[in-house]
Amino acid sequence: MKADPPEGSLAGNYSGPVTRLAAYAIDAFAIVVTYGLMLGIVAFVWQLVTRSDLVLPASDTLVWLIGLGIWTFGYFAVSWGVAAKTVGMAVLGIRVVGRDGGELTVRQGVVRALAFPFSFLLLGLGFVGIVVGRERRALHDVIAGTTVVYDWDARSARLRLLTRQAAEA
Amino acid sequence: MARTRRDTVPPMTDASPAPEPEALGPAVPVPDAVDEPVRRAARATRDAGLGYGLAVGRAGLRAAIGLGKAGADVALKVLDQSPVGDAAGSLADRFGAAAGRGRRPRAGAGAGVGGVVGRVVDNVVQVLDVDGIIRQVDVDDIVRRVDVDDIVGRVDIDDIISRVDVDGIVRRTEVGTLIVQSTGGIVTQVLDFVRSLGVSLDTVAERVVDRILHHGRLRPVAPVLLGRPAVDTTDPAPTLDLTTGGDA
Repeated sequence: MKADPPEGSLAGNYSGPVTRLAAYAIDAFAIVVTYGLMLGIVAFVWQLVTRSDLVLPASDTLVWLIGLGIWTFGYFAVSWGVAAKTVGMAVLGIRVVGRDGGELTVRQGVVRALAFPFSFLLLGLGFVGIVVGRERRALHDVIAGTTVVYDWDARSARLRLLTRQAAEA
Repeated sequence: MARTRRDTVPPMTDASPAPEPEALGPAVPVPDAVDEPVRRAARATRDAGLGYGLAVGRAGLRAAIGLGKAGADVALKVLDQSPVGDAAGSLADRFGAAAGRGRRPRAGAGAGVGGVVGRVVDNVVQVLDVDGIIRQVDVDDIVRRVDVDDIVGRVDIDDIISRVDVDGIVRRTEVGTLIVQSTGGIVTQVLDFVRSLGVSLDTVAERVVDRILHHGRLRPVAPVLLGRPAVDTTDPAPTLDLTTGGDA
């Protein structure tokens, strides 16, 4: 499949559902990987300090899940509060803004991270708004007063593609 | 105040002795209200006569000129058909060679005048010291007097930019090569591709949703502060050709 960048810049437009879903997938992968790394680092440091092995909880235990939940919250809260985007969002070229398009505040980022699980808990219905809503807002967007927009200059990407094609021709 | 006709009598001179009052008859009082309309009527009659006379004369002159031209044309045509016309033609043929000899020096004189004028202009330019004049021109002062902001304010930059075929420029020039060298890393290529793919799939998904759920309703494309107008979903949705590239 060949997907050329559009002619106009999309920066500032509401992000679509596929891009956001892909960003969530990357974030989920990043969260699990970094959580495992974090546990490994903690065990390594514990061993260095105490000279004894730290028995980490298995991945099917409640403690492990609680730790994952806390790590996930921290991941999203820090990412949104500091940079208004996560790693997945950065890869896909989207970012979180206020509902009116203004800059995201730290408070909004934290509230969004706190409300994020509710979109999952309602059998995923919290995400339906991204597809059918006029402003493409999920439940946690509505709670935090935020929305997600494209943050990359598709025009520049198109020019880069054209120049590559011209250089190859 | 009433005047008498005696008031209008010219002043007495030595050459013309003053008539006796009895010879002039008794003085008849003429009021201004009667005298003024009579004078105005006389002036109007005189001016009207002159005007009509001029108009009639002008019309007559035009008619005479027209008749003269028509008569001359008729006469020339008649003469052309007569032996006089043949004689005039042969005369013109005989004079043709002499006329040609006369035209040559005339043309030569014209060319000579042109050459003289050109040399004069060259000499004037050499004498004028144009470089010196240019050196004396205070370009900075001229530039200071020009209101650049006003000029720029009158230029519709957006309109100019919209007319520029940037895609064509990039294809035809080396600007694109420079861009590739500066930003054409493999990571950038991958990111551009992934993002473009996401946008194209977003477009497809939103097109489906718009057709099912947003019949004829305006749907904003961006938050208020980011300044994007609403789009009419009854129009064909922006498309991205997944095979050849296009709008999104």
